[in-house]
Amino acid sequence: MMNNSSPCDSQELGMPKMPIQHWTNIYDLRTGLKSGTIFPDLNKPFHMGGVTVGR
Amino acid sequence: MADKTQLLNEIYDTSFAINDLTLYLDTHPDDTQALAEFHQLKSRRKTALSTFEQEYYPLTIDCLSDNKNGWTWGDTPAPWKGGMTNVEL
Repeated sequence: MMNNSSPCDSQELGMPKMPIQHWTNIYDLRTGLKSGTIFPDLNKPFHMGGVTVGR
Repeated sequence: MADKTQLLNEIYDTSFAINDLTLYLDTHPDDTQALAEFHQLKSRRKTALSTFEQEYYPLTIDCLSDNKNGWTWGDTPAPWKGGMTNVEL
């Protein structure tokens, strides 16, 4: 049986607000390619299966 | 002669950085620092592509120079012969 409900269905709507990115010194290009971003501000650790990847 | 791997890395690195900078400039079109960086990287990438074409083979059809050496596109090794296997331009 397909279950089309999602955990979000019971939640209230939200209004996201986030700061705008500002220019900073970018990574050297090799590090940028390996990190998936040239912006240090956007290089966040991502959690996948309980393991931190990236950085 | 420039090292092939080094040249390819320069092309990969500048290509990715230009791609990321493009996203930034989409939301910050008036950022002069970002624009300056963009143009500098674009020029670096172009030089690397052109050097690669002169010393090895053209990576894209746009890399074909106006030389009189005839049709050089065929010099590019096919992917199954080791050419361009991981070039993401």
